[in-house]
Amino acid sequence: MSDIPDTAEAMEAKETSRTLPLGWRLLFWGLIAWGAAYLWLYTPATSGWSQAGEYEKATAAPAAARPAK
Amino acid sequence: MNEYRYDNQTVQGFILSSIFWGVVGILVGLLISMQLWAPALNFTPWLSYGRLRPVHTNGLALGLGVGAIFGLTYYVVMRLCRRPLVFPRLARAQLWIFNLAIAAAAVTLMMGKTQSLEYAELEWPLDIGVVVLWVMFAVNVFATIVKRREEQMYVSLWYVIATVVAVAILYLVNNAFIPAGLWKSYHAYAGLNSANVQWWYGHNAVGFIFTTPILAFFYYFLPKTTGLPIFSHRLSIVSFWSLVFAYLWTGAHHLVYTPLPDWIQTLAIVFTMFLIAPSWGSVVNGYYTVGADWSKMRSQYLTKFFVVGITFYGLQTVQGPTQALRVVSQLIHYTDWVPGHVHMGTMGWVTMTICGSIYYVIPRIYGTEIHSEKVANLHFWLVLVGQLIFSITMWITGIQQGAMWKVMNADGTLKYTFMDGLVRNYPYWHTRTLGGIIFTAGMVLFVYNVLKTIQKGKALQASQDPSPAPAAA
Repeated sequence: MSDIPDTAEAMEAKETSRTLPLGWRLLFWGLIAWGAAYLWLYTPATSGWSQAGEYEKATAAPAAARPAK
Repeated sequence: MNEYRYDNQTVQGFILSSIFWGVVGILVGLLISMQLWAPALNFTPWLSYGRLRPVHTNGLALGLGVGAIFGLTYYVVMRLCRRPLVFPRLARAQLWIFNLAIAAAAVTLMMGKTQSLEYAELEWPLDIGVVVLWVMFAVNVFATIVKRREEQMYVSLWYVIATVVAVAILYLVNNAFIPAGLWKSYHAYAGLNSANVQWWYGHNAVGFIFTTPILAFFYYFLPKTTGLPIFSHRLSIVSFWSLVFAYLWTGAHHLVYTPLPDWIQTLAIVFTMFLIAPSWGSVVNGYYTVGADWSKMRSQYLTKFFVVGITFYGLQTVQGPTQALRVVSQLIHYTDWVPGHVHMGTMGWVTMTICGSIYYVIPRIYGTEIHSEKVANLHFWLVLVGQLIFSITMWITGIQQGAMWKVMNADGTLKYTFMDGLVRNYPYWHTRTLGGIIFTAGMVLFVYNVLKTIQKGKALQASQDPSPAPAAA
């Protein structure tokens, strides 16, 4: 095994040490943008969405189909 | 070299302890995987599934995981600070207390003594032991970093610091229990708050035991084994700070569709998805690093441990965040998908990286080579195949389970009973045990290889050192 010395300088590639690949930067900022949108859409105070409302919508149709007891 | 001999023995002590508890934890895992399809294997209450499952998770997370973390962290910190530990005897005492604590943990869990919160099962007297151990660890790590002889701090040291700090906070807050007797206590938080604190802890325990220290090892041992310097320092640091910033907000994704307020769930989901970016920062950095010379995959047998390890880390950190999304969570939550996910991380990423690191460290301690690269290669392929069988079968049966639970008749009643779903798990549970046996066979080869290397190293040391120095201990 060729051993590199235990210094931060030797452990890091010189030419590329300050690179942030473009694809990765897109992922980084894209996820932040997605997060902002998701936060808005699924917070009751901003969009009116709620998991209780979602549940009521999902169960309304089957409840209507059930024969009344 | 001699300056490090005592500390190296401590490192090796932690590694051997970690391997020992690893073997115990894996064998318990095999047994409980069989108990699921052969209930007659629940021999006594002590060896029943409900008690052995936490023995399996604690044994591997604390025994194999934390044991290896203690040992390998000390090794990495000493090298990157270019000095021995500041308190060598403290580390040696920590090694003994660590083994006593894990043994006591296994026994009390088998007795059924538990706080009943996942990954926080150990009762309060043992919690105190864990805190003492962690303080000993923190004192040595910080003192050695403060007194370092290398000015610039390589990224691995940042990950080590994050591990020490975060685990301390998480453990103290969630293990705030009010004792009601020696082996009984109550969580300091009630109801929903208890659940929220528990999963804040539960998720981040995974993050700061199975992610940050393992990344510290990855960033250190990948360049050391391949001779290839890390592609981008900036990418490693940006990834580090964004990972550490985002992680602690994510725990509530374990409580999607519960009475936890909607906005807390949503916030946790957002931070969880964001984690893909810092995680993939490390993945990309690893690939570009080896990308400088892919022939290392062939010429240096350890390269594949780290490359496959970081690949599973990459898959894990896409699968995990997407599981937090409501639309995915409602299908797979509470199903066997989840153990499939966890085991890709623990068997594919954590164990693979730890094994690669140990294969590097043990020969270095003695200035020798590994006993057999052939055995190491066979170990690699067996654990890889075993892990894939485990994860993939659990994903399939998890989706099947979730789908069956959701199917409704026209009038809104459930189409399948719980038993209908259970029965269809059996073929997958059988296959999982098969995957576990293959994985275990690989780990047996690993243990054999490490022990043979130590034997060889000791013989070499004895031959170079005819008049052994008075024991440093």
